[in-house]
Amino acid sequence: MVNVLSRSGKPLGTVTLPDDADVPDLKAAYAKVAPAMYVDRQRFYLPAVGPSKPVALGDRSSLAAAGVADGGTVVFKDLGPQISWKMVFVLEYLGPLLIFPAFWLGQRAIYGRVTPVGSRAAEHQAGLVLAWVVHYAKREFETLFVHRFSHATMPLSNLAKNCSYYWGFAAAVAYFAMHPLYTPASDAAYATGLVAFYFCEAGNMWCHFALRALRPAGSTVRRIPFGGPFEYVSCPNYTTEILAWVSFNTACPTAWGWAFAACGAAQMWVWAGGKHRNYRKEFDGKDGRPLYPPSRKAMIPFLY
Amino acid sequence: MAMTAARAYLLVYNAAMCCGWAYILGRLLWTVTAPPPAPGAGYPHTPIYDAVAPALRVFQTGAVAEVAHAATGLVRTPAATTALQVGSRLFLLWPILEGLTPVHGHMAVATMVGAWAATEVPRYAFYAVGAAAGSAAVPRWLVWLRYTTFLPLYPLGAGSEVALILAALPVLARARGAYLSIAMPNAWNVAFDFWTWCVFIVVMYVPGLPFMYMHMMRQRRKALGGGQKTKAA
Repeated sequence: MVNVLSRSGKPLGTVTLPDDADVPDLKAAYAKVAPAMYVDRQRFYLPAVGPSKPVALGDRSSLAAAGVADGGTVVFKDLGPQISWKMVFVLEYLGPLLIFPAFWLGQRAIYGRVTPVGSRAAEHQAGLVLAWVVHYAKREFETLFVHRFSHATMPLSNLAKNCSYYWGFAAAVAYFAMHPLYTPASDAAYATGLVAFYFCEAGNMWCHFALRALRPAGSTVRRIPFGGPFEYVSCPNYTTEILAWVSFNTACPTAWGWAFAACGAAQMWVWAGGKHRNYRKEFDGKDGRPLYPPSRKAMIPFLY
Repeated sequence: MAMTAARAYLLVYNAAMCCGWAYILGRLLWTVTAPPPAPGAGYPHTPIYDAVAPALRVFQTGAVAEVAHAATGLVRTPAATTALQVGSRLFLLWPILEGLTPVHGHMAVATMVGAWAATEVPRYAFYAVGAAAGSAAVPRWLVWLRYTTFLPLYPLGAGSEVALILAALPVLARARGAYLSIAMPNAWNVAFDFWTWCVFIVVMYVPGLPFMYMHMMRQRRKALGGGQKTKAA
């Protein structure tokens, strides 16, 4: 039996568990006591000792190993309403997928005129719409059919944040890229940029299929990725994503496009560092666990 | 208590800023209350902005260092809110007041500079004494002043700021796009319209003002006590 307290110390009830119960068992049992708190909404902590921060109970640990004995106490935190990662991804990419062509097709309505037909600018804009749509159609496809998420849900409040980021930047880039007074790149930069862009997109998709193959369907298993760019970096999917945006901006020079690429790169820099550290921590070569390749970097071969 | 280099620097910086803002406040009051040079002369007798501008440029721009202090962890204030506060003031000072002379005659210049200065004098004094003697040694009345003057002065200052931005709009509209603006086409494929930016800023004051006010109310409760105790864990 385990006592559940709120974060302010109020008793929330008790749950009865077998001796070898783990944290997911605790969550399932607590969801029966408090039906509004479905499993994905729950997080448990060990009671804080003194001024130290309370320690969260990870899903992989058994209660006994975490130090929760029979008759012991855990602290419950409500993570708030949850939404599936898949749904967030579908919605956040839907905006860019529709917004960019809307500016292209709606030029007369939005700007009151169109790019001169047959001009270099008009030709570039047609190719750039296609590249942008291919990127986000690919992301929607991967979200629905390729990715195997390690977490089922995220807080609902993230939805507005993620959507305003993607939709806002899409509108800002599209407004200027599809402008009737758009100044195109040189034809050489346009061609080189687009070729490099599609090459990076293909590489990025390859990485996503490789990551899918590492995780059996329906599981959240983590394994060491091998092969191709994974021999050099832990997150080649981020490397190719950043290079794809650099390529796109080479073909389509806009201030907002570079700002979008910079924000994305900064975020992926942080994520890559975290994932790389997690790989190294989890696969430390001790007690029969495999050793993570020591020369491998996070995101930039040989450097970071 | 040992005086580290960081504390010595903070003492000098905050004491200098306190003196600078006290000077600005003095100049302002002197100018506003000066007797008319001749009967029936217009009011104010000396342009208020001209009287305070030289010191205002130096000491308001000097507040940029506060953002650096917060960002580097030299002081414990959050960098984002500091940047927001300093940024909004620099926006009023440089592109609006320094750039647009027709705005200088507005009466909100006096109320805005007055509200800024009357807030800053006790605030910098509070930090200076804290750096010199430790935050526990700051006299109670100074703590009270630092966390109380904003109650009337923040709405007065922010209201005056909005009034000045609104006063700038018709000036900008007369030559739309001529001042601090970029129009398409250009190689970066970007445009910026300063008039629209000003409207956007005014709109941002609507949620921004209560947000900052609530933030300072929380700080006040924390500093002066009487609020709820911090949650255990």
